[in-house]
Amino acid sequence: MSKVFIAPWRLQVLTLGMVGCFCTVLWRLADLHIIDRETLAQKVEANRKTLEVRSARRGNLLDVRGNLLAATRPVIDVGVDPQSFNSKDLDKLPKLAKILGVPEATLTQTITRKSRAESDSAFNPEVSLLRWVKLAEKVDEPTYQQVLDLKIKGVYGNRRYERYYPGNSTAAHVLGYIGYVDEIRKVDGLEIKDTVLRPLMGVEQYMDFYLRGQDGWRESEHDGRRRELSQYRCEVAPTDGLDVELTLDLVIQSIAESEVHRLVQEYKPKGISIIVSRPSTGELLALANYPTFDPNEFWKSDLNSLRNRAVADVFEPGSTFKIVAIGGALNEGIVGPETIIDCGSTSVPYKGRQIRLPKDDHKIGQAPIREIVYKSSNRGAAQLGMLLGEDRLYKYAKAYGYGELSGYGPGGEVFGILHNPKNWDGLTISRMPMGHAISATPMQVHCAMASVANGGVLMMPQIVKRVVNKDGNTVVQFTPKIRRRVLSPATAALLAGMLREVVSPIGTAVRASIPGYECAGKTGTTQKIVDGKYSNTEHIATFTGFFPSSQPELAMTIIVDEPNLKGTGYGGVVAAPVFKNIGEQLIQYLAIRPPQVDSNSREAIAASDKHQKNVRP
Amino acid sequence: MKLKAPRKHTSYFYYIVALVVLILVVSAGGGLAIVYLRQQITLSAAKTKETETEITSLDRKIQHLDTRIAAVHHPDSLRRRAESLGLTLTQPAAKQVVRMEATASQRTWPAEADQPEPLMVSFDLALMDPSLAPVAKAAKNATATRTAKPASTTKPTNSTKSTKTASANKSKKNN
Repeated sequence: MSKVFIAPWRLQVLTLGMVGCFCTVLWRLADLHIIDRETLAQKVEANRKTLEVRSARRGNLLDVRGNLLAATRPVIDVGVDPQSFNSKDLDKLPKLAKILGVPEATLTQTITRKSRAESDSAFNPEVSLLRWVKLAEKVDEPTYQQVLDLKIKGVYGNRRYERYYPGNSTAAHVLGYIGYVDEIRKVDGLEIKDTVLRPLMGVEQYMDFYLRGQDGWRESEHDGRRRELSQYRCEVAPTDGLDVELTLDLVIQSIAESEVHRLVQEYKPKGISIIVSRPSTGELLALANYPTFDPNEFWKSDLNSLRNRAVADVFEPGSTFKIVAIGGALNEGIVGPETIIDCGSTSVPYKGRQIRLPKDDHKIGQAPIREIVYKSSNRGAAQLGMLLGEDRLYKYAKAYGYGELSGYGPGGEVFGILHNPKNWDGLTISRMPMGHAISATPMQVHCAMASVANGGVLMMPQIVKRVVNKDGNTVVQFTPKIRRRVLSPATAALLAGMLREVVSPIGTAVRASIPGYECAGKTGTTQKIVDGKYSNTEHIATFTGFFPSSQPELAMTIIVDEPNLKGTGYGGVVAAPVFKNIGEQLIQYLAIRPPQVDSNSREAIAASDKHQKNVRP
Repeated sequence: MKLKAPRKHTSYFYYIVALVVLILVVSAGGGLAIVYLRQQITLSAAKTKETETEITSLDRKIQHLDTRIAAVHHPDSLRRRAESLGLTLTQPAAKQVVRMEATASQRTWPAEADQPEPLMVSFDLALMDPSLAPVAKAAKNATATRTAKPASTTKPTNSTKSTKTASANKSKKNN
């Protein structure tokens, strides 16, 4: 057995070395676990855990019969990582080009280009590697599956959700659209600019609270290979948005838009608005405008097309406003249907001075009120306005809804112009009853006529019927809202009877008559103001009416701005036939029954039908 | 011979050994069970994730199909399709529609002078009592009425057959 001698200094050095090593390890441990603990723990957490926001799906927009008007659909932007692309897959590119609908040469060039110069000067070139280049966007699911089936390395897609409007421009102004907007948020005093999707118009914006839903989140852990350890998942599921059911009917909307299309082909006007509603509830069944836009690609349209003309444009309502003066005079008991008014005189005394009356297209002479209505006498209406007086005329105009918002929910609406009587000049009392010196939106004109159809009660236009959940159960019900009573039921019935004669062989709107049905309405032909003067060549043709007149089911307003035709674009010539065309189709679609009529009325309708047949082109 | 009493410490020894073995078995079993449970949890979570992914994928497909169906069912799309197929589909005209609840006193179609009235009797009444409408007589009456009087002044007759015949004739004419 040998004895090993160790020098004491060596032992001491060895001991010190070992102690030093241990101290270093201890120091490092203390550094990792005590001093840098928080920073490192955060890094570990960040590497191990992921927090993912789970976006809520936006609710759908449905028509009154449950047809889809707007929905959220998944689309894929297909791209390639040129660094991962394998040249062995080059022979698959023709197939890929065919599937994506991209020229093969472009595709090959895109895929084989692996870097890009990123420099602001030629003397300082910087090259960066391309990691993802877009090949095609908005690819649908089946097409993307075909791309995946090719198994090309480096070609893959990024899925995103987009708002889709299956009818393209159908009811575009009502539905609105969704677009990107810049939003600034503050984080720790710093302003961060985000570009986010937001509803910008129409029902999308109006009902955003119900449609948008609530985002959820998911926290989970990953292993060393970045594979999710799903057993550690912790999540709050997103709450999808609710569906919104509108009062619009897709078929009626489509019929209205077909008529808009026909009018555009025939008259090439500047603008058109057609509104169809149920007078008893104020439910809007169709609202069509021209020019219009496709909400799927709204950025391609000019701002002029994005405007909802039915509520945002104002014009002088012309003769359609006569129902205000006539209805007011009848309601106040100042005149009756057979009261004779002298429409032959050119001026009448009013409050101590002689007021010049406006011209009539056709000389009428002395005529009862009902004749003033069906012949649309300007002088007669002016005198009725004078009989009412400034204050009452203004009161009735207000009561009919002129000069105030109609309550059309999605917004974009304007008040129109209705001046207070104290600001009227000397001629206003004779001009306003015929629809001059006042501006109104098509919706206001429509609501005014619908109030006559509804027994004198003015309703709020309703566009949203209810909010429903995924199971189809009603979450929020929207009910018709009454704004006010404008006329007594008896006066409204009397006025409706007079308006029926407008749509008869003796009236101005015989082209609006629907065989077998009693229709009522009022034409309007407004001269536009050009350079401060009423133009003789530029007109707005209007017809607003309802049917069947004794039990009104539908109210309809047609406004055509500057129709191009030989001669004057009268409301009775341009707009009234649209009422008939739409009405005839809706009778079948909505199964509107002809009202029960007595034998005298039947003969009257028969005569109207016969006349109507004769005026057909 | 006197038997020796069993030694107490020997019995305690076996008792303790048994307990230790039991503890070890329970611990090992428990440990294995925990491992097994964790494995099952992992497997279940993986399966759940897989199913969830599948559901999401199906949901996406449903959304895609819903929008496609909506686009195809759009009236304009249907109209274009009908045109491309050469179908001359039109809405029924007012005079082709016979309203079942209508009575003879009600007006149900355009009274055009050159058109015979297709409906001359209450349908419900005629269907309830066929004896009211002898076939040949009704047809004869309908023809006679048509030639004798204009539609707007035609008086109603209680004839089911005449109604049907007239309606059929009109339908043919309209088509």
